[in-house]
Amino acid sequence: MDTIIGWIIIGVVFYFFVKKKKKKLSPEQIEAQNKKAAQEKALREKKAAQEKALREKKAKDDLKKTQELIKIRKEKEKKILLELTNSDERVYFSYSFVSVKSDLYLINSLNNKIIESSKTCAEKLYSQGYKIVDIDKTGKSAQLEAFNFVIRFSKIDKSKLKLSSKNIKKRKKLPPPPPPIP
Amino acid sequence: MQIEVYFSYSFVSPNSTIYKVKDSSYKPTIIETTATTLKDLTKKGWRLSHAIKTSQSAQLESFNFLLVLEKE
Repeated sequence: MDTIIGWIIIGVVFYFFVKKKKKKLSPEQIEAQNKKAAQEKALREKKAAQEKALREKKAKDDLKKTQELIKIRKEKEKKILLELTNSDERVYFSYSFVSVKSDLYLINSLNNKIIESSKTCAEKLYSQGYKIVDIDKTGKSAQLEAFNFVIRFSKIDKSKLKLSSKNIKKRKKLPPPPPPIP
Repeated sequence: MQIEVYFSYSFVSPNSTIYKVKDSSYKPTIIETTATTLKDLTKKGWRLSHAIKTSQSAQLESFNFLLVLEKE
C-alpha cells in the first residue's frame, strides 16, 4: 500500500514538474511561431516546385536531344541505305537463312549494325533481277534458327552480257612460221 | 530467275533427301512433305548454285547442307 502511495506521489510530482517546464506562450508568440512555420512551409514548397520545374526541364531537354539524335541517325541511315540500294552489288545479313522468305538486312558500315528498314528476302531480290553470287555462313551454330549468313547479291544486266558482232574484235592473222632450218 | 533453298541432313549424292524449311524467327522447322532429291529437281530444270556445309561434323551421315537452287 505504501509503495502504491509512494508511486502516486512521485507521479504527481513528475506531472507538476513537467507542467512547470512547459512555458505558456503568449498569443503574439504563438502567432509569430505560426507565421514562421507558414513561411518555412512556403519556402519548402517553393524550393520543391523549383526543383520539380528543373527536373521537368532537364527531362524535356534530354528527350529533345534524344529525338534529335534519333533523327540524325535515321537521316544517316537513310543516306547509307540509298547508297547501298543504288548499287548493283549488295551484301545482306541474315540471322537465319533457311528459305527464300528468310529475312535479309543490309549492314550499316558505320556501326556494323543491320539496317532494319532494309528488310527483304531472297525471293524479292531475285524478282528484282538480283542473284546470289557468294554466300558465307558466319556463325558456328548448326541450329536452323541460328544459321547466320552473309550473302552477296549482284544484279546482272543480261543485255550487257550478250556479245554483239560489232563488239567482237577479229584477231589479227599471225604471219606464217618460218620454215624449218635444214 | 527463281530461287529455292533446301536443307539436307546428309548431302552426299544427288539422291540424298533434301527438304524445304518453314521459316520462323522462333524455330524454323523442316517441312517433311517437301522431301525430294537434287536429281529430281535437276530434271525439273533447277540448278544447284550454292551448297553450304552448315555443321562441323566430318561424318557422312551428318553432312548437313544448305542448298541454293536456281531456275531460269
